[in-house]
Amino acid sequence: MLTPQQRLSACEEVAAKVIDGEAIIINLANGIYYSLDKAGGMIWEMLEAGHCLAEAVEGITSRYDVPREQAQADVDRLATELVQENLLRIAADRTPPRQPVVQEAQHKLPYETPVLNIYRDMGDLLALDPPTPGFQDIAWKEPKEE
Amino acid sequence: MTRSLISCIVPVFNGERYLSEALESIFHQSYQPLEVIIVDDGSTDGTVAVTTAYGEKVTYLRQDNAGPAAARNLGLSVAHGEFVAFLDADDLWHQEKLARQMARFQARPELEMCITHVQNFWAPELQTEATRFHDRRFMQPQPGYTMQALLARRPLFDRIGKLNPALRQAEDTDWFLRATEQGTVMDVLPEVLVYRRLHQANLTRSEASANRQWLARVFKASLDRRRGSETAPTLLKLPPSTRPEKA
Repeated sequence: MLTPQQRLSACEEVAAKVIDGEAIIINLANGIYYSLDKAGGMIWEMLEAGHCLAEAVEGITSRYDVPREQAQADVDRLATELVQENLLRIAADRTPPRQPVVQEAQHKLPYETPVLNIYRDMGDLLALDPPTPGFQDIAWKEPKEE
Repeated sequence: MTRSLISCIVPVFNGERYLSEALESIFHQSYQPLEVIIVDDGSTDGTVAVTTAYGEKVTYLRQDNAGPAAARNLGLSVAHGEFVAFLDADDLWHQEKLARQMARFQARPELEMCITHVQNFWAPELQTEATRFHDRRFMQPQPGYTMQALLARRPLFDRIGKLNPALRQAEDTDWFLRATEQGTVMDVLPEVLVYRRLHQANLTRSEASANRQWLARVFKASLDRRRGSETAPTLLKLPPSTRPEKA
């Protein structure tokens, strides 16, 4: 179970980029890819940057019109899911990012519960040439059958 | 019965070291007739000298360096064949590659593209890596969703579009995603008929963190197209890839 002060970092096997507020995440080890938009994209961006879960909650409540309790529950749930999918890992020694949590917005955006969209249809597409940093250890792993 | 001409397009950038081997693997194909189009993407090494030695056996085009997508597209623009295939200057085809793919097109007239399985192999100077990664999945034969393994009807590139020259990396992945989104009839041969050389130059390209960024962009674009389409399914379907066989 994750704690509010825990910091995470992207797993070695991950390619990710936030584009137009949507986080696109690819697990290079098995070709499964994911998307997170709106609040979900912001949560990913903050956690991947090294903000702890509590800071992510603060960021969400600053930008979105959402009760703190719901934001906390959603951040906890999503962070756990991202760890279970081997996209983020606990990084105990990670230092806080320089960029502070976002300022309180004057007009907050409407909030939707973030959903991690999972796509398992392109596993074969990346099997031949997965991009690897330093061509180091990314062992190809078969996606678990549901 | 007249056999269909296959245009074999070879994009090359500073490929003097392995280009002859690649070209010989084309000329040794059991399938004929072929035309060979070399697109030099602004090489500064001995690439020109290598191609000159082949004389009229090849069509040589040169462009200022613009990336592999632009080079392949230039080759497509002058291709005369009913079918097109591509081979990178550092890779090799099995002698039966085109013949077996054409046999599949004859067996399935509705087929629009066909790929084979591909085997990665290490250049001799990378024996340390070869030992280290010998049990990795990418060292096993894999379905070749890459231009080197493709044989396609030429009109498919009019329907799907050519490769995106704005992408300096992941351009193959982008094209195969577009082809899949549009319901292209495709097949995967179970045999290993393409051999992809891993050497220092393309390892450097593969290692670059920018490659990961391009890949994420390509997947984002694919998802956006699917969401904006009334016909493209949200989840795509690749053909089943059976256990690879030795050719």
